[in-house]
Amino acid sequence: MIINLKINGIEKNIKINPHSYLLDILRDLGYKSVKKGCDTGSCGVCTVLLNGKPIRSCSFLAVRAENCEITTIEGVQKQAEEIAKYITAEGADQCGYCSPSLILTIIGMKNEIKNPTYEETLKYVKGNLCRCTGYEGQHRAIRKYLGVE
Amino acid sequence: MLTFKHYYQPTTIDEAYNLFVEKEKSEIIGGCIFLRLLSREIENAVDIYKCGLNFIKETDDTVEIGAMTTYGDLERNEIIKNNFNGIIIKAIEHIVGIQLRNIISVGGTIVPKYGFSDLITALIALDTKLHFYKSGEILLSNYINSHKTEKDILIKISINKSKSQFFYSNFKKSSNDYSVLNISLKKDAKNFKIYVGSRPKIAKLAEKASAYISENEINSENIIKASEIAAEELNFSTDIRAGKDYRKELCKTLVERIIMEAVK
Repeated sequence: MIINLKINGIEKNIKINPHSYLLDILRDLGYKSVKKGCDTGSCGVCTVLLNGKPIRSCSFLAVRAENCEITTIEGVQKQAEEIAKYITAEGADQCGYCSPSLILTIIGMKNEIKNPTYEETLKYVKGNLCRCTGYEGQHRAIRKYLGVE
Repeated sequence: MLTFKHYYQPTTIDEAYNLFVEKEKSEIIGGCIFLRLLSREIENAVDIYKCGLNFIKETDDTVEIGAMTTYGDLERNEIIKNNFNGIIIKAIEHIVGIQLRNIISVGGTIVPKYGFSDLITALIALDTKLHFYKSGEILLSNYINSHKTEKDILIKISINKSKSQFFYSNFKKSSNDYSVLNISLKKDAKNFKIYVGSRPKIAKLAEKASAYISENEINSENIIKASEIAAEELNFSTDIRAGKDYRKELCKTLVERIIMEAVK
């Protein structure tokens, strides 16, 4: 079947199998920032924004994303660079494998919660598993970026 | 790998139901999150994603939640936040991560009767009713004990607003894992109903323990006695998260704590 996906503001007609998951379609289209990690919905590295909210693309049928706004890190370069400065300043970047998904989740949080509390920031990003740095540096960076006391 | 031989994306529930009953070997595609972990082909996949089943409505007496409403939608909704002592949100807010909660559906959890479900344990204490397209209304507590085989589609759930008090608790190895055990309690004047889920089987009423604590004076001794009765009357099993005996001991502690919280 052919569906129309709007990815980072650009509409594309794509031939898919109806059982294809969004992650595989995005990677086939060249959006390699969307990582295939656990592929079971557990780790969060496949995060993209769907209409501004973070979802796990490995567990979301691509056909359901038709007529939605899909955002990958490639579509938010300027904002991602700004957030990345906070992450690197806190020594929380390391291998970078989970960085695109973490940054998209932070953007999702900023879209959704105005003036989040410390607890809300912790809760919002806890679904992003980091393979190397641990989380303290990430949380410091997030709090500084969002101005959370 | 999960595959669909034929895929249908109806836009109304009438259309979805007709496809479901007319097509042989058809299955409803609801959340499609756990289903994808299986390796098999579905002959006729009827996807209800676009059937308008994502809603939360409030009347004077009830709250209605569409079957395709996501956990994320529940968390963000003021009606859900302001009713039922917040136990729905307490049950779901730490499940895996916000990215998954934004796609897990209420119906996708209830219909397959997942034993590990935190949401079902909360909903059962709320005397939640399920509304199926064909067969109509059934209490969640009756549904999970039924062997419903006819083809039907869950449209929504409804919960009556109540003056009862509700409590929920669980024990997890890490906060975004599935529960090793979860527990809910309904307190209506001096009547208690205690439900224990993720045993790892689905939530079940601890009848004798509930009756004991309802009929006896509330004191430390009787609370401990009720927790021991609950652990004895319910069945527990072993899975990857915990052993049968561990769950049984844990049940005593959680029942004791939730009664203490309810009578505080």
